[in-house]
Amino acid sequence: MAQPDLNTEQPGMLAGLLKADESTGEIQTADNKRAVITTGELWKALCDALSQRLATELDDVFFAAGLSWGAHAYQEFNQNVSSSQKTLYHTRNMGLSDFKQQFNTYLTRCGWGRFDIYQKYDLIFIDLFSSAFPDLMGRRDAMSCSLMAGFFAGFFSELIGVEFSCIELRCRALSGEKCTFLVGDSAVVTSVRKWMAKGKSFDEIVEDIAAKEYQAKK
Amino acid sequence: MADDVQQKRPYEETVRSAGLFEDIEESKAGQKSAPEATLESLADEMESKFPGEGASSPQPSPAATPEPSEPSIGELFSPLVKIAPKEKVRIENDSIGSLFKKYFTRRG
Repeated sequence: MAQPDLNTEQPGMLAGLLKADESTGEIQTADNKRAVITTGELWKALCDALSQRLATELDDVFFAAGLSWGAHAYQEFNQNVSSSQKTLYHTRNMGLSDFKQQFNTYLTRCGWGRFDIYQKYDLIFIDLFSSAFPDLMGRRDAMSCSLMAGFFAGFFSELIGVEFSCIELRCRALSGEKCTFLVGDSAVVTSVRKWMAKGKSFDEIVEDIAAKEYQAKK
Repeated sequence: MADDVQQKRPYEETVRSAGLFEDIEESKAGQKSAPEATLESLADEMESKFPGEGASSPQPSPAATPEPSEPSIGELFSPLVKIAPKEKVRIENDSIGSLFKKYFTRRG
């Protein structure tokens, strides 16, 4: 693996993000957490091993892992926001553009891609550009970002204080441009899962959502 | 003498980096009188102990406050929150008021 140049000051080289101790072989983040740098080989090996054992439940396992990861990520994000702003207001009161900027910084500096969030048909849609997972896994044949779906569900459930679910509606592994996730209650997510199993396209699913054709119609 | 200065500097920098001089510097910058600064710091302390109780009205930083035309991230989720089943809403014990919440709904 290529050695990261931690002392560089070139823009875009993440100077100051990581500290390396070559005597112990440890890398730590700026807030003293142990880190490792890995390419997709490890992820792919993990995924292959897990899929042999879990078969069709692999996505559920990744979602569950993402859920827990997202909840922890929120605690970290909240701590950063609280310490930098010195206010007593809850993080959910952050202005939308400020939140997007800070959350994007959080994601992009670790290489998970760039995100956008918006409301449509009384539901929340998230676009993730350059999602890392399809590249890490080398998958181009199926939806592959269940880990990130879990991450968003966990993060926003903690942020808002309501248990949400999340599902990937389209994946960069298939469509090429971006991944789109839907955040909502379990009823809409269950319906979307059924529509996807029936082979409905992204546009058809969005039309059904717009017509509120999901379980427990609102 | 020069050594004294060199020895004092790190301590002063340490204290400054720990934020202990902030109140004084903010007071100077804002031309506040000592009683004003004391009252504000007391109000901040009270608010940190009893968040959301409205004892004082701290102004959030501009970055934390949405523009009048811009929703907050929480407001973006409000349609989902409105329809969320009660069992999906997590109770937050984050204020002194919430500790006493059960007494407000008790009858008799």
